[in-house]
This record gives sequence, C-alpha cells and structure tokens, in this order.
Amino acid sequence: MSGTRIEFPADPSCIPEMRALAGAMCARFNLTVDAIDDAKHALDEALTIAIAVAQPESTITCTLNATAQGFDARVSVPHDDDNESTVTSGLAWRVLCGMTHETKLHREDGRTTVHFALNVDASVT
Amino acid sequence: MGEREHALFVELNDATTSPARASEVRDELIVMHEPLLRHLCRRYTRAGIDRDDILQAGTVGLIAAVDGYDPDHGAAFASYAAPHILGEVRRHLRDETSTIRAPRSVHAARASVLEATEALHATLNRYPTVAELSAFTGITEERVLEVLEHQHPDSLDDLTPVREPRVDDATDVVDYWQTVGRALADLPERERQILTLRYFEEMSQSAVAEQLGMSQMHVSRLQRTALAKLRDSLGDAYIAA
Repeated sequence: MSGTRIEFPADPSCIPEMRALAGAMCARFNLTVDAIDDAKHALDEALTIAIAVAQPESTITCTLNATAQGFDARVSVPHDDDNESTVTSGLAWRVLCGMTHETKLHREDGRTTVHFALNVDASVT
Repeated sequence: MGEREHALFVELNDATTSPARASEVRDELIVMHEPLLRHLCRRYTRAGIDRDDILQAGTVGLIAAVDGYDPDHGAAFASYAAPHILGEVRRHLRDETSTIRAPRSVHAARASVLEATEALHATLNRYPTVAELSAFTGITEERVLEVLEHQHPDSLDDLTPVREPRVDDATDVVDYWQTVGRALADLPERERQILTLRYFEEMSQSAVAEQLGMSQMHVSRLQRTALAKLRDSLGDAYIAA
C-alpha cells in the first residue's frame, strides 16, 4: 500500500494530530467536508481499536492514503496477547464498518492490523 | 477482588495497624490501581487535554477512594473508585475549561464556515470541499480545516459521561449487545437516532442529515458527542464484546 507512513506511540493523546493530518490530506484531494469528517472519524476509531489491543509502550505504524476517489488507512500495532480477538464483535468495529466501504482486521506475527477504505461516489474537480 | 487487595484493605481499615504500616499499605493500593486510573483517564485525553494534569486529578480521586473504601461493604473497589476518580477529573476540567476551548481565531471563523457550508450545500446539491469553503468565505484553507476539527465538542458537558462507566465487562455476545442497547437508550433521543441510522442502518451522514432535517455538520457534531458518551459509559466494552 502506498501512502504516507508514520510511526508514533500507541497512546490516545496522538489521535487528534492524526485526525488533523487525515483531514489535511483529504482536503488536498478535494474531498467534500462530509467525506473528510468520515475519514477522520474512521481513523479515530481504527486507532482507538489498535491502541486498546496494543502492548504497553509500543509503537503504532500508520499508513494513510488519500486520493480523489477516497481515503484508506492501515493501522498496525504489536498486540498484547495471543488470544483470539473479540474486537470485531464490538461496537467500535461496528461503527468503523458503518462509515467505511471496506474494513479488515488481521492478526499475524504478533501484530494486529486494522485496514479500512472509504470511497467517495464522485470526486469534485 | 483479589485476595491480596482484600487483605490490604482489611489491614488499612484495622485500627491496630500502625500509622507507618498504614501508609505503606495505602501506597501499595494506590499503585495497584494505577491501571484503573489510567484506563478511566484516557477517555479524557482525546480532546487535546494535558494527560498528566488529568492523571494528577484522577489520582486525587483514587486516593480518596482508597481512604474511604470499606472492604466489608460488598461493592468491588473498582466500582467504588470510578465515580471518585471521574469526579475529580471532571472538577479539574471545569476549572480548566480554557484548555479545551478552540482557539479564539477558530471561534471567529466558525460562524462563517458553517453558514457557507449550508449556502454551498443548497447551491451545489452536495457538501462543499475545503477549497470551495475557503474561496466562498475568504478564510484560508488551513483555518477552515481548523474550524472543521474544532466543531465539537461545543461544551464541557459534551465530554461528560452520561453516567459513571461500568467496570464489569459483558461476557457474551447477547449480554454485550444488551449492554450496548442500554447505553444507547441513555442517550438523548436525537443522538440515539443518529447512531442508529448511521451504524445499524448504515446511512451516510448526508442521508441522515436529510432524514432528520438538520445540517451534515450538526449530524457530525452530535454523532461524535454521542460516541464519546458511549465510549465513556461502556469503557472497555466499547472496543470488544
């Protein structure tokens, strides 16, 4: 996945900056304000989920990609345990799925990765 | 409650415990419950509030809870402590409201951006882009983005949980969704309608706005406020069943 790759502490205090970055990236591609809001909100939810399962003091790797057709993100973090995740049956996951067009969660090699894609019907040029 | 925790509380409340030993026990109990403190406080770090200040305020509540808890009372310590911790955090937030207010420059631009959004929506039959809002209002794109980011929460009350968080997690899927349903039922009607339409009927923000006869930005603001309340009222159960 191409895009802007950023690493930062798995801590909720980092979420506002990431929301602002997502908003700025979407604005550059002329997404409408409602699509921008969905992109920021979806990233907020994905990060909240990732932080909840993250190992203490770990680092999130986040790849963001905005285009005229939408916004997608991949949020990856070393997770705290090897138990089967119940994340996908929770409300946060439902919220994330409700505002995006594609949502996936992978658990592999000790890492949990949340991926979502949000498409816009038509770009504004 | 764990055996160690119970034994410590019994010792702390025993009149024969020496002051020096009581102090040690108290410190151990405070350290033992630091994860609970951090868990409760993290919900308030999202709005750009200084996390250390929030933790400090929450610690005051935790200490008061340790000092006031009666192990024979029956309630789990976490249930007893949560209102104390959150009470101190909210008191701190009320005293420091300036720390979570949007910059004055954003306030000044806000009305223009909101007005322009509705005017352009009516003209274009879709919501505008940031560039269009900038061109319409003469406000820089950077400032428009700031306004969009600070459109919520409007007030400190929006950050306040509708009730104290539950600390017992739902244990199966049926219980879980019943718990979610109860938390949803506690929301104001309009917020509940928006979340139901958005996430259970999977309608877009624009479609919800049209159906409820309000602006997209208003839907966005209420949606985010409502989700913040659910995060607080559900605690860890917000993330996982």
